[in-house]
Amino acid sequence: MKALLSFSILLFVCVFQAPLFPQSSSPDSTSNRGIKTWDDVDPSRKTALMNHVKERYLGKKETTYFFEGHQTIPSGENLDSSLLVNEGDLTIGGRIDGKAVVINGDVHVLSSAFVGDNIVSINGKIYNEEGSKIRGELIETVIRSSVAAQKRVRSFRVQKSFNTTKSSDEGESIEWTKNYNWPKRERTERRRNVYYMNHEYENLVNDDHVVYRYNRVDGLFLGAKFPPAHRLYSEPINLDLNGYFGYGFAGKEWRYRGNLELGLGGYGGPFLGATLYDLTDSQDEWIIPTEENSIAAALIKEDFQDYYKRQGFGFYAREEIASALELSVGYYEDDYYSLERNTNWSFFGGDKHFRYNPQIDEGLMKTYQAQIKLDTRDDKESPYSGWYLAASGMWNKSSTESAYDYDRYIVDLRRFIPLRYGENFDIRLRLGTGRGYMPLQHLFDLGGISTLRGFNYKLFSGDRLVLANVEYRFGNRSSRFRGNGLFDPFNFILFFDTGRAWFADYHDKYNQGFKQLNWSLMHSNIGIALTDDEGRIRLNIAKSIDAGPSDVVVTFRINRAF
Amino acid sequence: MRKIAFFLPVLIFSSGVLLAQDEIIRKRHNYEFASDEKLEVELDIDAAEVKLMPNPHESELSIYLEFNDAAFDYHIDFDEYDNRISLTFEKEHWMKDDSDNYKTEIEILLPRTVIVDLDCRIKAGEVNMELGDLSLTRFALKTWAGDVKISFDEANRISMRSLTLNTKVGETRLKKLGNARFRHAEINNGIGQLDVDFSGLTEDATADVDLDIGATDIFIPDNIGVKLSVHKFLFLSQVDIPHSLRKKGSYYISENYQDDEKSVVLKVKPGIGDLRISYH
Repeated sequence: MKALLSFSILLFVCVFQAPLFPQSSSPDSTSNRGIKTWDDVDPSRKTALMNHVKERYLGKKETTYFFEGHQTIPSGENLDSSLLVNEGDLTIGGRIDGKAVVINGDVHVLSSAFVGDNIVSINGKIYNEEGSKIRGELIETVIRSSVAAQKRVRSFRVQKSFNTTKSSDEGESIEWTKNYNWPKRERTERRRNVYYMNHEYENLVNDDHVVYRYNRVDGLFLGAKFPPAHRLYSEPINLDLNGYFGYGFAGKEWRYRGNLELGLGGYGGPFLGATLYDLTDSQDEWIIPTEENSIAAALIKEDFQDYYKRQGFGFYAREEIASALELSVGYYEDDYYSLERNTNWSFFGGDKHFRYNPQIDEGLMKTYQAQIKLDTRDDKESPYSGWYLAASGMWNKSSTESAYDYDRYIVDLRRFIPLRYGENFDIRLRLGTGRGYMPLQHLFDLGGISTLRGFNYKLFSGDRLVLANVEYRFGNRSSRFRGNGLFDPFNFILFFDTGRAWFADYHDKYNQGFKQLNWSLMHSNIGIALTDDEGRIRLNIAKSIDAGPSDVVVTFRINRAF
Repeated sequence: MRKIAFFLPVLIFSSGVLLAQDEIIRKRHNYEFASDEKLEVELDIDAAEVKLMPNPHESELSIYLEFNDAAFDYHIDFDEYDNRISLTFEKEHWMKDDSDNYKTEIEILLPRTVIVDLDCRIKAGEVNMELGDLSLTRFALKTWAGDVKISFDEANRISMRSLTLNTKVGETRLKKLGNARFRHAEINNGIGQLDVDFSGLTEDATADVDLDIGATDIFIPDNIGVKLSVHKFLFLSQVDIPHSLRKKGSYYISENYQDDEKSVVLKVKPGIGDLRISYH
């Protein structure tokens, strides 16, 4: 009877409770239990990838157990040699006195696990719980050229659709993984347009957590910034609050922007957002970046931007369709106010005064806006090659609350063409048009730095704009001029600007009013600049070639015109 | 009793230290490519000892990280379509220095047969790079603080389009830089000793060497024609140029320099400090 009972218990243990791996099992005993070693596997089933992985990470001669599909080594179980798992996840709770290698699967290492050598995941991830003991390295490998990567993607998609109640090994493994909520470190690419766009707020110098600027209406403006959290871009669905606030010491007013953004689909968007703001705004950032303008204002009492107060809220959606292509749409309700010049301080500049800040058309505007941006430039600040296209539109309809009824469209196209090493040909075409009565703050200005460099600053204004800038950059990097004593110490830019801003008839549509555009009415200048290697720090000497007398205009810049 | 009184605080203190110990992460990421593929590698590292060297597995990129989990975080983005890998290694709290107890190390083994465009930005830490026998098409390094040692013991397998080194504070030693086979090099050192050894130059090349504060030692091999210009910083630069380079206009020219033959055009801007040029 006792023997029968013992036999029953033994049978029960063997059938229902048998661990996957026996304590201190030997290769022989494992093969008796149906566990294969690598050498037992039919050679026809060994793919090129499996052979490569075995040789690279396990060695030719090393004894290796081999499994297909998801595997678990529970706590308390031992394996006396290395392990290779193909096409499945591996969960380690017990002890492995060797290497653990998984092809096309993840490895989950529990706190109770001991692994005597490396843990390798091919085309998968390793998730390691604190407290585990690993004598070797954790190695995540991507074999790019293998078909395995594609298989992995397919396999992952299939796994996601598994029903968690499924009783197969695969289903259990997935359920287990969900319960433990592994702290995945997956992040997505950072150096792309949407990410940067959202770190930089308008008309401010943006540091990591500080924003600042100096101008004639705010004086010194200092603020704190709360950039979007990484998770907004790295997780499929996330809600994030970001923005900034700060104080203008001369204007004696607080300014802020708060964005509440819902990220859908992880990196690249789409992003849905609501925004609330009170800004000292300007539309002159395209002429001179705020950083350079702040330096000019603080040092030499020259403030090139014009400002107005914009207070309101809006809703928007934006998406990065490809790494170089962005699309955004939004609806905004803004109250516009004029701002006064509030300071005349600068380090230098003597008795000179800042320009008056121009008055604007005040009032409420309800605006729909859309923008599309294509940017294939190799560098945002000092490009040598690539295309840049930005097209934007704003639509205002009059209502009982708002008297403004106008549309405005801007297209900015740039092409950077490397001719040979050290020589570049760059061109920009900017067009502006609209419909209806455009308020003062949204008119197009032309003349001076970055636009028509042989003319006075903002000499021309209108609700139609055409501007073309051409630059040929060459100098000591160019093999054509290298070794020539005259050119060796310098880089040069020859440039030509032509353009015009004018007013169309009030009733003209956006595609009308261009009859007044002919070559004889265009304003043009030629010029030469001495510059650094990147073409950013430059001394421009320009002269109008319009009929009649004109002065030579000399300007010093620390940024490119475009 | 006195012993207990002495040991108890020590025990409490040491247990506190032990409890405060954070998890040390040691992780390697390997990426295997086909030979002659093109790969962009971007490294953005806050603080670490950084080592770069060729990988014995010739078409594999390997990134090894060892760091205190409480003090650092990292992520690696691999864009399979554009073949671009970027490593961002971030210090979590700059103000709270909780990483002193443990070394922070990043070792990168670069593939030799894959054509690599390498762009590194390292804020702080020692940088040690052996970049010989690789296929670098472009190499850019910017460091803010820390000593930098770069050597090309063997020739780069392909011609390098550009080489840009910008180090702010610290000693910079560049060994056998000519083996990089660069067409144009920009070397800019802010504060600290700068040694540039152009050994290995055999092809047409231009190089700009610019130093703000510190001594500069430049070695130019005499197997290739050299045209050198030196732009002194007022009277604060002490310049020592060998007699074997004769002055012609505003240049120093070697005897074997011919305009139409392979040559190196070198522009040196020493800052405040000595400039010593060796040519042999």
